Amino acid sequence: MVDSRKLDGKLRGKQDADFIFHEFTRSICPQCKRVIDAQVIIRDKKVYMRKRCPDHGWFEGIISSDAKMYVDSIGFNKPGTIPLDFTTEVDKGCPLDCGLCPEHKQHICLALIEVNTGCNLDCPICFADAGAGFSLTLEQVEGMLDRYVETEGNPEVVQFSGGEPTIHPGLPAMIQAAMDRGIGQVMVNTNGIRLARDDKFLETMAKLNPVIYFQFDGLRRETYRTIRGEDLLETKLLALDRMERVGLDAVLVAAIEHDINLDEVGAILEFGLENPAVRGVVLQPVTHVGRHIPFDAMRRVTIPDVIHGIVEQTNGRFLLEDFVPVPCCFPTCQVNSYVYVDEGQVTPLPRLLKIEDYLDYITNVALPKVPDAAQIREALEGLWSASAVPGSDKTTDQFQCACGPGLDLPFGIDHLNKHIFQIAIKDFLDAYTFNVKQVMKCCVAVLVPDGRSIPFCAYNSVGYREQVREELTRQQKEGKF
Amino acid sequence: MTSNSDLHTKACCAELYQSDLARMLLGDSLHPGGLRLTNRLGRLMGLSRGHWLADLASGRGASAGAIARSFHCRVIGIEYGREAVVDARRLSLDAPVPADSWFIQGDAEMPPLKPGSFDAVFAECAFSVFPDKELAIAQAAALLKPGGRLGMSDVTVEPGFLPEELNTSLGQMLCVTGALGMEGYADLLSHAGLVNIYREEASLHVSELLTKIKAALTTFSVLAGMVGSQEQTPVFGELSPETDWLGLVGRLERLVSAGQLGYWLYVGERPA
Repeated sequence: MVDSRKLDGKLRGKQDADFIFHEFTRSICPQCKRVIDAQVIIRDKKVYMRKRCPDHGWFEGIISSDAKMYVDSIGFNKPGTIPLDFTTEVDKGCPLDCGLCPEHKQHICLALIEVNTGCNLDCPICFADAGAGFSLTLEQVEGMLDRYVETEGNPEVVQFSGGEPTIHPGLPAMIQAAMDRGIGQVMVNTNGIRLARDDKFLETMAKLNPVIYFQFDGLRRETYRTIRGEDLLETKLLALDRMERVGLDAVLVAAIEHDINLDEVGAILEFGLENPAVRGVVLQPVTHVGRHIPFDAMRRVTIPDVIHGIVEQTNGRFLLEDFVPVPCCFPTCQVNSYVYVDEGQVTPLPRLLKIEDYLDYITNVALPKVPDAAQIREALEGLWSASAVPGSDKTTDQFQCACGPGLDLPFGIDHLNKHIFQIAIKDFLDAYTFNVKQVMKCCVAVLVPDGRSIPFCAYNSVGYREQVREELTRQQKEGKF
Repeated sequence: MTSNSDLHTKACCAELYQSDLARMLLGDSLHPGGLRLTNRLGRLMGLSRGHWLADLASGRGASAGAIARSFHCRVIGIEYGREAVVDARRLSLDAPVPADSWFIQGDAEMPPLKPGSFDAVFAECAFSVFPDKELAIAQAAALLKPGGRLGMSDVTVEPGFLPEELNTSLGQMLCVTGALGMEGYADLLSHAGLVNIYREEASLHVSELLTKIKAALTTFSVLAGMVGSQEQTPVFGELSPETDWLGLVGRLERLVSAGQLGYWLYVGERPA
């Protein structure tokens, strides 16, 4: 006889699961990095990834704190562009054949070159785990740039990173080498310490005029003590003043974490909007790769946390609708917004134009019936792309084209360059959130001296970074470069 | 013997290239494709460390500097425009990363350089504006050492397809008034005794340039319409309001798709 009641006295019967099964994908084991199956589920209006490693058991982590935003973003996905050449072959399957292999679904919008592993800081949080290792030669970097030109034809953006690239004595020649090859935009990813302290270096950078991708985690001293290990606020502010004085454009880049600076995202954005050297902000939920402080995978910061933070902390200046997913990569990876700023008045571009009419490729059957709709879509694709560099003429042109008739824009590209502001929120993957389908369409890649370009999140999570670093460090010790 | 009208063309052309309008549309390297194509041409010429190069019609020296640095070569630039030469020298001295490049003022059709002493000679958007192309190519080829290579990138207009409106200074700036057809340049190289002639199409860059011009024109007309005035920004000062510029750009785009207007790279070698 079957007992009709369970031990707790409740009636036995079928019950609903407490989650919605959203999709099946592949990920990696956070402990051994082996590729394993994974489920994406929705529970309590939040999105989680669950997966099981045969050796290390079950893992679960949050990937989006707003299921509606996550699901609504899916249509913002455009067909990828095939690069001119691939560097590796399909063998073990994604993400172990990077890259790029012929199964990759997108070309490279933004290439990173990590010129060294050394740094002039020792941050508790560092995705690159900066420290002793290698330092590339100009010749190696030239070879990587040449390969980038071969695979892309017209590479759009290269970003020099590290370690800390500004302590590499060859950095100016490397920047020049990228410019000499006609690469449209060159960025330098830096903590800004050398820009704050070294007059001669500042002057050299001013002449080369790359866009400075400037780590700027907030406006509280405590934030820097926690994330960077020391109080850097004065140095950061000094660096910005000096950049403005010599005409260098900066993008503020903040690593965002709960209980540290999530409550500062509004302040960072407003500070950027008011600072004359700043052309945009990039807010990046802290990635738990490389060096990181202990974290709870069920409580990491995700893109919706940052958007909600901005909306709540800016007194109605921004709405949720002002942030739109980027369709060149996978739409859950990044959201962007653009604003036109004039005399304290802030006008977000999505208020002038229904961006989803142009960039939601799956729901929309046809483009809006307005003159130049195709041109507007092209301009918006340029703006909602990982290759959009704030402050560049190209970005300004695209902004102008997208909203020309909708906004009373004063004449002159120089004026506009200084009044268009980009907001980007990028959620890089770590071992808990790693999703093969996102990596397969990733358009940000790390260039390696052997000619490969490895999608950024695969580079950081799967073990490529460690392999490349070990190999290059060994080669340099043996005097091979 | 160079005629007065040829001298006038050269002077006028040199002046045009020094204008802000040209720089805005074409970038510092003043030709479609910018330094990307310069770099490609350098690769096709097989440049390597220590080579001596001459850059004919070197403008403000952007290409010469980029080639010298990218391929670790030494470049001598010849430029007719005095102001451009002064700028090129100043920019070169002021460059944060020095390049092995020098600039002299002179007629690139008859370069004051020692024949037989260069590993490579290159000319970007130069032959299309040279009034005496046969003389220029003979002089350029003579500069090469045996086995040396001449690289050329230029606008091509198939004979008879130049729109009337482009027989103007705008046409000169776009290098189309004196441009040859796609075969014309190849013939020029072989008539000068060069061998192993290679060519590669880069017309996509002309389409890109036309798109850029169209965007600038559209924005301008939208803005002018919005404020309801004929006021012109300095950038567009040379464009006459009566001309149907957008229509012209559209015609040029069609010529590019039909292969009647384009941009090509050529490399030829002096026999050893």
